[in-house]
Amino acid sequence: MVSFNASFGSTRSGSAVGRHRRGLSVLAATGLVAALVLGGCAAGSGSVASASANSGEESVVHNVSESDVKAAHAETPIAGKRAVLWVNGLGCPLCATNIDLVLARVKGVSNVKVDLSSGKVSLDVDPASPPTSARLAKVVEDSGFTLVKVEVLQ
Amino acid sequence: MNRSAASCLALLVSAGGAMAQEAMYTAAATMPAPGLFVLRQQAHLFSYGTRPNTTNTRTDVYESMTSLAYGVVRDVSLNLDVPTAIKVKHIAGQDSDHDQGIEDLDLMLKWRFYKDDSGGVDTVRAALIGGAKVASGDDDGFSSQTVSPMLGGVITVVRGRHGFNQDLFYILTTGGDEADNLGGEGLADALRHNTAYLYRLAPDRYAADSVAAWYATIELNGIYETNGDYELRWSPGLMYEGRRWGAEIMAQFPLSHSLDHRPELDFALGFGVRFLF
Repeated sequence: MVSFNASFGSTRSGSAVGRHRRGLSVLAATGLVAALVLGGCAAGSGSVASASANSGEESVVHNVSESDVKAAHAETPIAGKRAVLWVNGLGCPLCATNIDLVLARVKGVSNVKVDLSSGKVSLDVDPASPPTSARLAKVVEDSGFTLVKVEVLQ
Repeated sequence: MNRSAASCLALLVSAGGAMAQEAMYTAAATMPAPGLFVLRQQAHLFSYGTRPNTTNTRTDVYESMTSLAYGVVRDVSLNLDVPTAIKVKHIAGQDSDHDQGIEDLDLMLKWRFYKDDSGGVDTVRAALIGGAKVASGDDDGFSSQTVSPMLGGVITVVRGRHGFNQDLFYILTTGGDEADNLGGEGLADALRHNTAYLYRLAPDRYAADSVAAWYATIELNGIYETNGDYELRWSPGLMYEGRRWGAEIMAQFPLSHSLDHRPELDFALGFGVRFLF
């Protein structure tokens, strides 16, 4: 395989052909490791609807049906004072801030709170001008995430 | 304010960063939402060894990197990197030679073409990144005075506490100066590849009121030039991510290199912060 020269000093030896081969070998090895890691990760992933992902000690899985996903994208105004969005892909705190900054700009939405432990985003809805599920879904998708269910609370 | 003072000020205020879930030297397939900005400021010290065929005994580069990313539309962001540097050349038997200036700017468009959010935290994303290294206009050995196209891609995987980024870039060099080449700045084309693993140290599990996370990061950073030079570095680091800002600190060391046209890296240190607004 590839043997790394783990010295911290200079290594100015070997022919040009040897250096090319060695450099390309290291590059290929790095790519191979990347492919193996990615392959392993991809093997553990599932579709949004089936929510079959498993990431070991911490995996928030939203068990939703196809109808939940479809309803989350419906052109129906939110009929309640509060809504909880079930969102996939909230990988880190800074990522999640994309959502509350953008959702806060939606007319009829206020008091947005992101819960990374459950993968849910709660928000208050103005009954006088409620947004549609489709509107919220678009904002979530624009932010780089996936909305799989809208839970309406009275 | 003269250029020296401006450069020093830039270094002093350097804080810096990346997008979310992004280590210091490796790109990630993440980006700000449309209409949002991420401002990233980094400060680096790169210490290089002897340049081939010269009497230089050492070169130190103090670099301030200001980066701005803007979410244009869904899955597309515009990224601008502005590097300011002070180069100190230590020549045997002589006084040190100081130069400061603005290096080539990186103007890039990132298009996230694949996204699979399989769980509340878990995701796989891939993006293409295209753009160019654009001459800053600095004529003191810091700018190539040309426009060199760059094309690359990045894959990001997040699984619970584990994050992984892999990027690959090809730089079609249209100009440069071999005498100032410290990696990808000479006359040869360059292939850069970076691999990053991020492990969330805390919290081990997110709570309802979690607003921040600490990560340990480790990177492999490689650059191959078509003149035959190749260098692979490893970079351990620590990263903090809050809701609106993040910070990171990192070191970098050589792992393997075969260089005939430029000096090898002895070590590097980096510090950065980033803000989302």
